[in-house]
Amino acid sequence: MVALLAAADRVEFSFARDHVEVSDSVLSKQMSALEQAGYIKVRKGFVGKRPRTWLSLTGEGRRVFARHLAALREIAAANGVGLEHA
Amino acid sequence: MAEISPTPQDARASLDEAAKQAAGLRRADSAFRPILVALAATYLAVAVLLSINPRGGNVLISDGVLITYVAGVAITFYFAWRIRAWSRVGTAWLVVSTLGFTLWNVAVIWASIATGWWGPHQPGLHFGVSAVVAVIPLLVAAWRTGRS
Repeated sequence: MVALLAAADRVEFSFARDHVEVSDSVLSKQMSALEQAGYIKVRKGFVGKRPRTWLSLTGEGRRVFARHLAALREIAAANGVGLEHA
Repeated sequence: MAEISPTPQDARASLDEAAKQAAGLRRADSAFRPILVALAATYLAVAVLLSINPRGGNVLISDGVLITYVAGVAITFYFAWRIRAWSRVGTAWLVVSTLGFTLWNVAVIWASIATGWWGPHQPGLHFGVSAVVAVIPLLVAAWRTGRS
């Protein structure tokens, strides 16, 4: 989920749900936890009568994710596991 | 409780998953294509109307230009409203494409005037030809959008 948001400026909730292939409730729980940690921003609005919820990573979220990726690359590289896509 | 580090294989799998998510989002950038096509179509439609030689003044042509422009902008905003994911790459590409089109458009207009291609005794078709040349960057950008 965070990997998806890291590549985006913002993503609609339904797109994230369909892309990551989880249910609404699972995604909501994940987003609440990440929002409380300060890693994502959740913006709710309406377009006409249709609700739209937009998700985006905060600056802190991007920094933490970047550090997480760097750590994963170190672990993967330490044992010579291929890094073609890293 | 000690933290457990992922194995190298788990780390590799996590990195692959992150790359897969980013790639999937880039494919969704194809949703930007209609915006660029709508901009190009609006520009061409207005150019066609202006090519019908309205130098003598023609209310029909002027109303047509206004309606086409307003409709084109509305359609563009509609396509933008429908987008469910704004990837960083896609958004940057949209901005660069529009800026590139604007600069190229200015260059084409400059060349059209400087060479006399547009002139008081030139056929209105010259304006349309310039517009077709001017819109090429938008069409190329639309074709490239969302392709990996």
